[in-house]
Amino acid sequence: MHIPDGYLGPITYGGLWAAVAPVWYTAAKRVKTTLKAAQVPLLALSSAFSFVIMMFNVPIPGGTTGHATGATLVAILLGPWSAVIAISITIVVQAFIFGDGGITAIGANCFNMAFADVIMGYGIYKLIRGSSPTTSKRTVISGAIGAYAGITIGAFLTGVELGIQPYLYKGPDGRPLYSPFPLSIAVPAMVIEYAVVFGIIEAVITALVLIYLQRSNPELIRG
Amino acid sequence: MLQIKMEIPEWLIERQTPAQLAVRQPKEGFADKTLRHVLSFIKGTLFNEGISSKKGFMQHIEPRVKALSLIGLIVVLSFLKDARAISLFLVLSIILYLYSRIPIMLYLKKLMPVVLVTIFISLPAALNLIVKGDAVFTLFSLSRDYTIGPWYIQKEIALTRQGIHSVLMLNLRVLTSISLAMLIALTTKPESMVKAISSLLPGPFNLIVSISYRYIFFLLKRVEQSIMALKSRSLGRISTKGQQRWVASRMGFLFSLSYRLSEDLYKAMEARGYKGETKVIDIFRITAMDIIWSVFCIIFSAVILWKFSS
Repeated sequence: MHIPDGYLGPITYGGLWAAVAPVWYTAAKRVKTTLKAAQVPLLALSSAFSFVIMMFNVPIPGGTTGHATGATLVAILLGPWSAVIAISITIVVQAFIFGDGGITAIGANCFNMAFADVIMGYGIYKLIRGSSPTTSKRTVISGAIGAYAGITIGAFLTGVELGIQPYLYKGPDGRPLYSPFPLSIAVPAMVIEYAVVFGIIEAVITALVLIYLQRSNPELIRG
Repeated sequence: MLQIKMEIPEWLIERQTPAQLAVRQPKEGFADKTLRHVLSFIKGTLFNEGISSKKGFMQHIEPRVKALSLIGLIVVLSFLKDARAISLFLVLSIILYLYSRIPIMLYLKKLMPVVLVTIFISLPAALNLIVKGDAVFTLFSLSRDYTIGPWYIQKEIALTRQGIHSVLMLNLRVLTSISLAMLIALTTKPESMVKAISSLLPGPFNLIVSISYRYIFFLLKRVEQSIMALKSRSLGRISTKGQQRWVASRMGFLFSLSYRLSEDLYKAMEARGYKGETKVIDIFRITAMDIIWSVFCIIFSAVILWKFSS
């Protein structure tokens, strides 16, 4: 879901930087008021954890593999605002230190993955889970549904951001100057890919990790 | 006296042709893929560290000046609508790679994956199915025009002039942007880059970035050890469900480990006087070279914007 540099025009990536800035501000403010000194290392290690789980190849039927982002999972384990910070840091570190993912597109990537995916995924998880106990099946199922919905919403937003480029930026002869695919192609391409393959991977992995933690360390499921 | 007849079984003596050996090669599984991914990441980072230690031009620029100037160039580049202007930025980036003593093969190896993906994704845009315009080459004809939902398919499927230009423009823009962005990662020691990012962030987020970077490698090492352990004790194929369970259990384990480590780390920090306040020790010094480079970037961008906006 990472958008590289060059696909989005300045109004779009600038707008998404502006859109994600208040999210970071709110997340930083909320985390700072609740974050005790003892939790700083936890947030740092969770950011490293987010980075590492994106590197796992998850097997899918048919012999191929895919990747999970773990956004909803991190939100369930850390709380949504801490997850926004942890995943944003992961995206920034990936872009600057490892040269992976766009720099001008950091705002867009954080908006889609660290904000929309996390908040929607976690919101749906909380809504379905209600007040059921940590070790219940309902917690696992709501985690899976939240993860599926979160990543699919993130993919939808990525499709919209890419799909509006041909309408916003055209040369004098009508040629698109950035991503050339209109909304009617970019949105279905992104949503179908994530709804059919990556969303299912995300849901399965979130559910299985929650089952593992329910058995081994249920106290870690705090969200 | 008991005599043991030592005979090598025939199947062991039988010579296998390269074709037979090739057939018996097991398919790369999820564990191998993850291991390859992890190892190539660690190897790549170590290799980048070697490149960033070379005595080249960009290596001498102060990390924050370098990051901000290159981001500035990428932003200016994103405003350009003329392929010739973008090409000048590409030429500048190649010159910077040469003067930074970065091997050209490494440059190509780093850029190729993203460029190939962009070519693959963007190629259909050359057709009139995506970008309407003046047909330059008809590929094939259908019996009539079709409208399926929001999609309109013309009778004649052709490459258009506007479509081809659009594909070339996107690829050139992506290639040039990545070429400039990669200079930051390749010519800056990771520790210096972490420090540069940290110095721009408020506390305690500066501390979070620097701890996070250090522990990425620690956790990756644990992933590598887990995969090696799995490989050494597995025979035959594990079912997809079993593989997924294993991946999930490793992720769960990594989180538990991160949690435990964070507690130990806090105790260690507390023992060294940490009370929640953080301060990044600024070891960076702006030199005349940094100022000359920054002025050059501003003049270069201004000239190109002025020349190609008219």
